[in-house]
Amino acid sequence: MSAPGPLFLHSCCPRPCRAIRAGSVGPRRIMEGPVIEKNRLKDPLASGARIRVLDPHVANKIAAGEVVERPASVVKELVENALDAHAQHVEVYLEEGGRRLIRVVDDGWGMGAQDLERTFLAHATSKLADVEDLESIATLGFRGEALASIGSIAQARIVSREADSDSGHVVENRGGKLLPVRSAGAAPGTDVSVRNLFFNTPARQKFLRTVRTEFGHVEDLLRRFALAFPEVGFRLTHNGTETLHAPPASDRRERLGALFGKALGDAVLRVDLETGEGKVEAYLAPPSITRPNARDLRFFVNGRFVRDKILHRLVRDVYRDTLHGGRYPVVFLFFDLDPTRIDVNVHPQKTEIRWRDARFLHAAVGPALRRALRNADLATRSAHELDGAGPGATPHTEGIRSAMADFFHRAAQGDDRLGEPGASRFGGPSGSGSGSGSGADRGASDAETGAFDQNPSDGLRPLRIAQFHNSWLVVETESGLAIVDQHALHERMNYDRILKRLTEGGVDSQRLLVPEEVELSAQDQALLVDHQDLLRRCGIEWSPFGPGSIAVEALPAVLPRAKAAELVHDIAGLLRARGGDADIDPRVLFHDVADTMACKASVRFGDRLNDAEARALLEESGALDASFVCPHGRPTVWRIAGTELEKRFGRR
Amino acid sequence: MKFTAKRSRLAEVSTLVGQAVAGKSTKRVYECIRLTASDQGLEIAGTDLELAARYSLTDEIQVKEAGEVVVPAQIFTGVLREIGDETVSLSSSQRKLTLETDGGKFELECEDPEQFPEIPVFPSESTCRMAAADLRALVRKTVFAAGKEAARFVLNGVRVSIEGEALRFVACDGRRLSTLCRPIELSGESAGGERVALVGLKGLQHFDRLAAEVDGAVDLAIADRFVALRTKGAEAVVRVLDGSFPNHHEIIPDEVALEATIPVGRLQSCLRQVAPFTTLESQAVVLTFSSGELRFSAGGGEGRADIRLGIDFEGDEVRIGFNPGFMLDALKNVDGESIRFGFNNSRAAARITDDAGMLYVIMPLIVE
Repeated sequence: MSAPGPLFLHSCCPRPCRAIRAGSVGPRRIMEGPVIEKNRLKDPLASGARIRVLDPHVANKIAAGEVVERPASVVKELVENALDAHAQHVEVYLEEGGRRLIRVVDDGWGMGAQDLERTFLAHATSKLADVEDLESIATLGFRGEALASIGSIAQARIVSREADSDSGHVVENRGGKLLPVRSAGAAPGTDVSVRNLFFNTPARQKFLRTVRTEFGHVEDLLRRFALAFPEVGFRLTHNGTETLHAPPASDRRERLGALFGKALGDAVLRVDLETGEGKVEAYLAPPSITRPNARDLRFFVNGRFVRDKILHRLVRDVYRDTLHGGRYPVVFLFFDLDPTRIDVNVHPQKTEIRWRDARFLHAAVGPALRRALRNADLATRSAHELDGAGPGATPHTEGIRSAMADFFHRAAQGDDRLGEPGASRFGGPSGSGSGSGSGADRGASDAETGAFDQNPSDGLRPLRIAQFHNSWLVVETESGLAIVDQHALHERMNYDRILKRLTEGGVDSQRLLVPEEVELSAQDQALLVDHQDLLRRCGIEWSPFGPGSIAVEALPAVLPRAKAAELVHDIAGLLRARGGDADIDPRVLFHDVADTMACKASVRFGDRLNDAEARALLEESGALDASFVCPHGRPTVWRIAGTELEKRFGRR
Repeated sequence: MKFTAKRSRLAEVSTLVGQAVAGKSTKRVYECIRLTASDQGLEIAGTDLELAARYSLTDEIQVKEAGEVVVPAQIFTGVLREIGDETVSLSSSQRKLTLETDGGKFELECEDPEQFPEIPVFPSESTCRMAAADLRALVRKTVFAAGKEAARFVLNGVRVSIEGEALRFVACDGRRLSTLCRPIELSGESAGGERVALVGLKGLQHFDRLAAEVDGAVDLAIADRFVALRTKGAEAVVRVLDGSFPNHHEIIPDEVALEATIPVGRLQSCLRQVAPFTTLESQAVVLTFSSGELRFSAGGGEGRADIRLGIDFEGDEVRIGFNPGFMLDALKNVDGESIRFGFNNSRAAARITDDAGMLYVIMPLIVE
């Protein structure tokens, strides 16, 4: 509490605040510390001006804070450089999660002595010449900050040889001290080593996480690159152990198989779209393969991995009627767009983009993906599931099962780092099924049962039906046995029908003899006014009825027992959840509403069904194209082939 | 207590009273009926605390020893219905009822009569007197339109009111309404002043059963907290429901611009032909009126039906959609060869009236 005085006091805290003390060692001190102290010690005007231009070394260190956050940021910059140099193979070696060593070796163009001299200078780049180029950025890097920043906070060494040159050169930068370029023996391409990251900025070093975490970030990053560049081979070695190997692939499906397991590679549905804005290549995993987080919603725009809220929402809407709340699908979208249609220079890490016009996403991409997903058969098949658990299990499937069991065990304890090495080493989809105790079985089955069946189902031809616990129908079919979740199946059917009617004009609306008064806040009333057409389609008619309440004059005929208040509040809730945006695509709302209405209109879990009702339910369901997953993504039917039963009982 | 009785009559009456008793209750005594034997005969009483019923048997019974016993209704009536003998003799000692026939003997564990709830009596002054058949018509032609599990509790009851020299029943489930008036004879002080009560369906159905037992007149009393019915030999008292029933005068259309007379049988047949084509998401049967013709159409994704019926109607073509179930419900309960169907437009309430004075109001379905 001595020298700095009250300026270092937090207003509510009599002692120097931790954050300020910690910050005073890092960049903050560089900017504020000396200036403040100087001002307090001397008359500011005595030394001339207060504002000074920082020397380049300090400036680079500050910039490094933006560009280099952790080892993964270094890897990112270096791999991007390698890819921009048209490398065919990129190898990354790490020691201690990258703290000790990050080495990226490529077989790209390489650099000559002159280039090497400039490579550590700020804003030195081969990728931009003038400001017009910024409008159409086609390379991954362009800001010319990366190497300068890295050089200022680590000991960096670049060995490079141009393909047509006889010998290579080496240049070193030791925490900002640039050593002269020397010639050296080298293979064609570039080999960048970065040692002792943050050695001269101890505060940064303190912010690094565990070796596992830092390595996990790097691994995830390499997966992204590997997805974006299937033709390039990637290899990742950590402390001498190879942890990721993706040889150059002929197409993305092959690459997906190499990264996430062959099962997922085979299961994904490929959709190619050609829109006015450019091309889209989409890989959609079946809804039976889900994740507890959005990690495997991966979007790439012109080869660049991006995080984008618009795309995120778009994909969730595509899957919205097939997934549980809280679960995420596995989707890879690759956009090939005219560079002028997007702005990538939004953030130094370049993971955000701005769309010049995002409308084509909702108008063309979303509906096309939804159609493709619906046209694929989503039946849940049991054969593989039994295989995996039964006597026929191979060492391979057992291996996956035990890995899954291990994974879910950890997931249940809250350790949910899917990208961590242990989780994905087996190559299978690393996080599927629920995090519950039964997750192990489900996880194993997801790997194999989730595949899209290209032949649309022929439905169920029930011979005999029994209701089990007033909840499930056990059905004898020509080929075996099927177990049906009666609520889920009925909900699915009703959902489809209600959605169709909503889309085509609206459901029948039963006018009420006696309007029902419903209390509703002014904000919610305003929402209903904004979505008058949606309410009409839902069969709800209403008028204001004094402050804070409305009179409901008609209700949807599909819900004869609907409570007006409940329904109106549900719909207002849906609109609120969508941010009350009056411009939202009405089709998205139709899904929401159909969901709500179908659930209310369906037989419940626990309702007694007589034989005729059960039969009608099963027969009607056969006609619907995607009747095998309920609107929340739960399976509705579990089919067990007769041959599977024979196997189970040792008759086969 | 000791008496002999004609088995079939005893079974009938105890079943009737047993219907007032709770099927399942946390207290066993609420699942029981009480038998009280005296010089006047046998009285059987039961209640579920909402509805209380008592029935007096005076003939076909010989009381040898007065007394009182409380027996589980289901077992008692079940046994009586099943045994084949003409007469049965019953006797009780302590908390045990013994039922003897030529073929065998049944012993039932009984409950403490002290615990049995009090059965209210019919008020000394009745409010009105009416033909039993009229009371039955009121029940039959309205109760079906009451809410079964309506969101609004009051709609699960029937509004019973005295309007001048008539008794009116109104039932409405929010989507349709049925009402009927029947003449009454006011008695005592009750003359003048409207009396209104909201009565649950179980009570009215019980009234109907009691009225079915007699040919002549029945007495009805409407008090503040209950409505009571007295027939020859039987009484039932039902507690009224709280809440204000919607104003039916505002709901019922006073005038209709368009009206047609339609034969009931043909109308029912047409509706039954097209109704199977309605689906969950397309529930309406659309009636299209044009000069001399009424068309019925229904259907959606799974097929369509379109049929014609020649009727007496003049005017431009008008379409109006309905839930066919709501129409068929009404047609099942109308009297006479034909009904009059009146309406204004496709969004406003329509009405069906029959020869017996029943007025049925039905809201249309709006079809997109």
